[in-house]
Amino acid sequence: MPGVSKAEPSSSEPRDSGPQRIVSINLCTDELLLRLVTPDRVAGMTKFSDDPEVSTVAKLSQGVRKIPGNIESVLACEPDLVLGGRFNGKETLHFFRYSDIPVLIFDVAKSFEDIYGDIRRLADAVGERQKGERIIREMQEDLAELNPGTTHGVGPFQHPVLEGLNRAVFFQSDNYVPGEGTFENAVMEAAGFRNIAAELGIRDYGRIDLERLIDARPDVIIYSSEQRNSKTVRGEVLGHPAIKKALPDVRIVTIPTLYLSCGSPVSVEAVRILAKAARASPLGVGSSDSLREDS
Amino acid sequence: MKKNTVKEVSPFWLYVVLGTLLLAAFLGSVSVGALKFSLWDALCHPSSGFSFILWDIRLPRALLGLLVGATLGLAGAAMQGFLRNPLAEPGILGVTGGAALGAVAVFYTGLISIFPMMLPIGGILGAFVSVILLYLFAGALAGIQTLILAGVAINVIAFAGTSLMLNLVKDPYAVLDIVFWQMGSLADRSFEHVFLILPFVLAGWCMLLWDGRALEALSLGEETALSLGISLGSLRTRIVLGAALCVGASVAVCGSIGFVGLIVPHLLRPLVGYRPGRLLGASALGGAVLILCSDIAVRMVPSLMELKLGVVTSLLGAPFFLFLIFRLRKKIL
Repeated sequence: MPGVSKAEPSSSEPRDSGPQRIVSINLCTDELLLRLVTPDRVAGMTKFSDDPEVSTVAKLSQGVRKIPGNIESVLACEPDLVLGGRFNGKETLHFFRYSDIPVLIFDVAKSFEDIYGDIRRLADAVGERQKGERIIREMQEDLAELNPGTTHGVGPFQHPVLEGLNRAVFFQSDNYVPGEGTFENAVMEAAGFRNIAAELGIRDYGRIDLERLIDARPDVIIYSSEQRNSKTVRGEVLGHPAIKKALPDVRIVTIPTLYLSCGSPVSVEAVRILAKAARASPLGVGSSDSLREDS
Repeated sequence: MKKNTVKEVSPFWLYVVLGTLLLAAFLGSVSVGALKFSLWDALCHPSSGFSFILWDIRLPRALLGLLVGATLGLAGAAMQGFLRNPLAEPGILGVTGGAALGAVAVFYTGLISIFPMMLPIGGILGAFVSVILLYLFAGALAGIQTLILAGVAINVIAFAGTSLMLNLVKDPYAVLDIVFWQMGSLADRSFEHVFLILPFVLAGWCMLLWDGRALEALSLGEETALSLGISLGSLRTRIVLGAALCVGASVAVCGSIGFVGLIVPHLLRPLVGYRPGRLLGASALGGAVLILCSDIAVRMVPSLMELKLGVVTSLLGAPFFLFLIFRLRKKIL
């Protein structure tokens, strides 16, 4: 009898021990969750999760119930775990803090370290620790392959030759650019770029003046695809004639928004796209080719 | 009427002074920016980065400031003259709000991707509808309260419409973009914007400046104006169309920049001897000076986030508006 009782939990532990009716009201937690648990353990998630334009788990989330994310819709799912983001559904999450249902709130990831931390935290909560560690290991291996000069994507990056690096700026609406301490900055560094905004002393997000941008002479301007497609009242984001005239050689790289909107395992794809662009550049040809031979 | 301490200035000297101020403000506007370099260097090295910054960023910005500032000053003076009401101003009366709604509607419905000219046209239509509404609500000879109330109502309607569209927009960046655009700014505009609105603005100016004599006659009373051969109907049409054309086009490109049409005519009125006709040209020059100076200030204030021009003019104008109401209080009650 004791033998049986010991064998029982070990065989079914990963599946039955954790919560079985998980509700997520944030797209970013939707994505993390579906990579860690099977869809049948998810009782509800956001309506964005099956939109292939913004979600990287659109296929996996097909059969899962979609909820608007307000208090009543969450309660209707009878959840045993609620997941949300720091800035999403603030009032809803506050409500659940005073209920018996456990709530996990995830901050916006600002580095790959943050993503690893989020994966570990969620994996622990849903009883899928091994799967979580496997995902993290794969991400680290991928990142190391993309930029061999870095230390497995952990901690600050050790650049082999800072001088030869491409200088880039990540452009957003109304000249907002991510500086130091943002996830976009982490992606740029992981791909071997130097972020002009960080050089100019911008922390978090700041505005870069068009005049300063031209003066800084970036090699690459990075866009997210959503931004590239969205028209602004003032015209195309970078349609200003002064940019075309003063920076005729600047290359423009577009990263699909869904790789960046959340810090998730697929954010490695954003690094892959950037790293490819860095190698294609005239400045980086020598160094990056030799790096590729090494690996 | 109490004696005024400020004396009328001869028109020649008034225009010389205002013209000089405008020239100085314009030169100041092209000299100031995030980067410091001498204009001479930029002019001498035509393919340097500084040259592109001067010709493609700063010059169109200064030109737009001139166009928009003159438009707002002129429209304010014309509306005050026609309504015979010192508080009439495109922003307070909801014309600017209507233009913003029109431009956002064009943007939101995607009409803008068909034809860029739709943006100023949307702004003009919005402004036009606002002026018509204002006229229907308040009539030609409304008292100050009625006029201001009608303006409040139109502003509320326009704001509700704009909010509705912001609410329905799917693209989060578009929301941010529209919100910032509404604060009013001249930053990062190009010659495309200047040429986009230039024909409308010039047409609007002509219609408003044309009315100088009629406004002077009107200041003597409707009867007198009629006896002097002024057709009030066509004067009204010109004022409504002219204000809608230039204000609508300006707002469509630069967002809502408020209170210029209130401050400038009020400061200049004693200098032109309280004559609404002569106030028109002077207010156009004065409005351009005010906007160019404010735009210089916006770029001089050291802050990570550039202040929006409309925010600065509102900070200047709102206390001024309160002050005017305070002075007019006796008249109102």
